[in-house]
Amino acid sequence: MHTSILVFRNFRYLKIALALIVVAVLAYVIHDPLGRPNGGTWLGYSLGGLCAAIIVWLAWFGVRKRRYGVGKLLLEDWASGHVYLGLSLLIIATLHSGFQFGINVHTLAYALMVLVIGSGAFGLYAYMRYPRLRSINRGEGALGDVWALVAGMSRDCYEIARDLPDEVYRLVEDADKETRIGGGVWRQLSGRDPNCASTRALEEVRGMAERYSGKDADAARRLVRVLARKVELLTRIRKDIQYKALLDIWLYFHIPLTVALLGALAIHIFTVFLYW
Amino acid sequence: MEVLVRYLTKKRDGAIATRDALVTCETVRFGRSTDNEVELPAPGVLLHEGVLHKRAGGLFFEGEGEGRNNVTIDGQPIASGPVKIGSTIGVGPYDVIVLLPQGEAEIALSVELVRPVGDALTTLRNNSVTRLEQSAIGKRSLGWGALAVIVLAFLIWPLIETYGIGGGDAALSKNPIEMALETKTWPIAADLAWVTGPVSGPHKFFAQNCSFCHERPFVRVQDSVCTACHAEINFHVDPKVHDLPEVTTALCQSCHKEHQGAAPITRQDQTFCSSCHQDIERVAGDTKLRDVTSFGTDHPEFNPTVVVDAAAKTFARVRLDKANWPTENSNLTFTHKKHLNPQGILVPGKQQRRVMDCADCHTTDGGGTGYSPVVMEDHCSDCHLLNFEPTAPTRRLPHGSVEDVTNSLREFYGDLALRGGADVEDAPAVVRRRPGGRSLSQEERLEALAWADKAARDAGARVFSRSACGTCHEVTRTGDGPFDYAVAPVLVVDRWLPKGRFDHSQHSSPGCVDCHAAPDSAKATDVLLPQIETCQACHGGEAAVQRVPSTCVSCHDFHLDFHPPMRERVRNARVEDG
Repeated sequence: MHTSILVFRNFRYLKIALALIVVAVLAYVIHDPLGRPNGGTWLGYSLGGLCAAIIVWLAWFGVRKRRYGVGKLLLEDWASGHVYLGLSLLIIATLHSGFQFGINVHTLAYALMVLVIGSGAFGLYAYMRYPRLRSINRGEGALGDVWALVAGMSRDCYEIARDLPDEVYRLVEDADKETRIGGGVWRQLSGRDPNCASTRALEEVRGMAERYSGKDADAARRLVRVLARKVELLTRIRKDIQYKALLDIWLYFHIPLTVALLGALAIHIFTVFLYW
Repeated sequence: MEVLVRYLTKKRDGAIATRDALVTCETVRFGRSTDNEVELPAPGVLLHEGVLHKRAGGLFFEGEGEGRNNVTIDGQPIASGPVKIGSTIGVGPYDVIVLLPQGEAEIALSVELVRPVGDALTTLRNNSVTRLEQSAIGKRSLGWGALAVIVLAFLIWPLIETYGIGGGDAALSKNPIEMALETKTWPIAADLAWVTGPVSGPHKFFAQNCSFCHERPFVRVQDSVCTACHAEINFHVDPKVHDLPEVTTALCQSCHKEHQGAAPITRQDQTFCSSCHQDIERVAGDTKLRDVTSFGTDHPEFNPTVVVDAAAKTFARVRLDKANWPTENSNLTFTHKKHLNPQGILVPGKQQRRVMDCADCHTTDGGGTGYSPVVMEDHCSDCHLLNFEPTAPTRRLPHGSVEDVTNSLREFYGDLALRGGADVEDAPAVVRRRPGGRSLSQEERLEALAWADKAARDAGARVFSRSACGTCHEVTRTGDGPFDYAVAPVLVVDRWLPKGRFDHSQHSSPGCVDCHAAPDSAKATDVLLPQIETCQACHGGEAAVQRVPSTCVSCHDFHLDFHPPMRERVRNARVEDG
C-alpha cells in the first residue's frame, strides 16, 4: 500500500499533477501582465482559484478517509492524488504569487501551505521507510511478548539478586521500578533514554561483579547477563516506539497547519477583495 | 531455641494458605536473603533488616543499619524496641506478627505480604508512555488554537480596528492629508497585514493608511481618490471626439497598478501604446499621426514645429527631409557658422579674436533639461555694442523699438548741440563752442538744433542699416520720413518637438555638435534638429539588445495637457450617480 499509492493507476495522479504544472508554467511564461506578475491578473486569479480548489480537496481527504466506500473514487485515489496534487501546489501557488513575498497574511498563507506540504512529504517518507524498519526491529516476536519478557527479567533479577548485597539489590529494584519506555514527545522520538534505570543497573552491577568473589560473584555475573538481555530488549522496544512516533509526529504538524492554512487562505481571499 | 515461622499467602480466591517453617536459632534474623530465619524476599526489603532477641524481660527487635527506616513496630516508625505477643513488626511490604508460641517453639511468628509490591509488567506499563497522543497536545487543539490566533490577528482585530474603532465617520471627518500622514504601525493598524505588496515610492507617504485609497469595502479603488491629488491629469484623447473606452473610461487603476513595490506605477510597456498606434487610423480615422510600433525600428521621422511667419505668429509642423528641410522663419539674420569660426570672431574695439562655443549663448535652464532663450543683452551685446557716435563710443542705443532708438538719437544729438563742446568735424561753431558761458541766441539755437536733427537722421540711417539693427534684424523702410523704419518681429520656437520630452542634461556626454550641425549652418533659417537616425544610433525600442531600450513614455507623455482634465470624468460620474 505504501508504495502503491505512488504508482496507483499507473501514475494517474502524477500525470494529472504534471499536466497542471506544465499548463501553469506555460501560461506564466506566455502571460505578459501589466507591472510585475502577481495574483491579481487574470492568470493570477486563475492559478489562485486552482490552488484554493486543490487545497480544499486535499483537506477534504481528512474527512473522506473516515468515510468508507463513499463516492466513486477509492481511498487510494484520494491518497495518491493527495500526494501528487499536494506537491504540485509548490509550483502552482508560487506562480500564483508571481514570486512576490512579504510580511503579510498572503505570504502567511503561502508559508503555511509550504509547511503543510513539507510535513506531508515527511509523512510520505515516513510511511515509505519506517514500517519496514519497524518490522525488522520487531523480529519474530510481537511487541506485547517482549514487554512480558522484560517484566519476567525484572522478576528474575530480584530472584538472582536476593542474596546479593543491598547495593546491588537496590539497583535491581530501581531497574524494575524506575525503567520507563517512551515518555514525552521528544523521548519517544529519540528512541533512547539516557537515564534508563536498567542500563544504569547493568553498568554498575558489572563493575560491582568484579569486586565480588565466590557465590556473590556467580550471582552477580548471572545478574549482569539477565540485565544485559533486558537492556537489549528495552532498546528494541524504544526503537519500536521511535518508529511509531515518527510515523505519527508529522500529523501533529500536518493537521494543525492545515487548519491554520484554511483559515489564512480564507482571510487571504476575503481581504484581497475587501481592499480591492 | 525453636522458632515457628508461619508464612501466609493469600490465594486468588481469597483463601489463605499457610506454610510453617520451624527453625532453630539463637536470634531470629529478618531479611531478604536465604540466610535469614524470617525470609522476606520481596522488593523493598534489605538483605538484613533486623534481629529478634529473646531477653529476660521479653522479646526485643533490633533494627540493623539502613534498615531502620524500613521497619515499624506496632505501626510506629521505630527501628528497635520491645515486642510482645500480638505485636506487629512491619518490614517493607511484610507484616510479621508475634504469635502465642505453641508446642516446642519458643517464638511463633506469622509472615504475610500485606502491602502490594506491584507486578513487574504492570509497573513497566505504568511507567511508560508510548503513544504521542498521550504526551502531545491534541492535533485538533493545536489546529483550533492556530486557527483562532490567525483569525483574531489577521481578520477580527483588523476589521474592528478598520471599521469599528478607527474607521467609519471618525475617519471620514479627517483632513485627507492629515489622515495620510498619520503614523501607523502594525499591529495597531492591523489591516497592514492585508497589504499585498509594497506601495510605490511616490505613494509611500500614505502607505500605512489603507483606507486613504480603499474607501469602501469590496469596491475597487475609485478614480476620485486619484484625482483628489492628481487634479491636473488630462485625457490621452478628447473623449468628446474619440470614443475609445479603453483610454477614456477605464479606471485609473486599470493602468496604474499599485502595490508593485519599487517598479514605476506608470505604464512603461511599448505594446500598450503600439496596440493603437501601430494602426492609428483604425481607432482615429481623421488623425494626422503616423503609425508607430517601436522607436528603434518603426518610428516616423521627426516632425518639428517651426515658425512660418514670425509677424503673423504662424507655425507649421514640417517633417525633417534632407531634400526639403524645414526652415525656421524667425526674421533673424544670423549664422552659427560665422560665430563658431574655429579661428574665432573679431571682438569690436579690442582688435582680438574670440573663439566662441555653444555655451556662450546657450545656457541651460534651472533644471538642465532645456535651454534658456538667447537674450541680446546677455549673449550678444558684448560684441554687438549698439554704439552709434564715434566721438561718444561708450554711448549705446537701447535694444528696443524703432521709436525708442529714434528718441534716443534725437535726445543725444539735441543735448550735444545745445550743450556745445562737440568734437565733430563738420559741426557748426555753435555746436563746437566751449560749453557753459552765455546762453544761446534764438538763431544759434535754431542752427544747433538743425545740426542735431541732421546728425540724428544720419546716425539713424547708419544704425538701421547693416551697421547695427540690420546686422541681425530685417529692417525695412516704411516711408520717406527720416525714421520710417520697421524691424521685422522676431519669433523663435522654444521647442521644436513639444510633444516629446528630451532632457539635455542626460545627454551631455556627446558634444552639442554631435547632434546639432551648427558649425556648418550658414543660414538663420536652418532647423538644427538632428534626424531620428541620430537618436537611433544610441536608442532602440523596448526590446533593444545593443541600444538603450527606450519605450514610448521615455519621450512621450500619455496624459496630454492640451486635452480635458480627467477629474471632469469623476465629476460627471458623480452627477450621473446622484
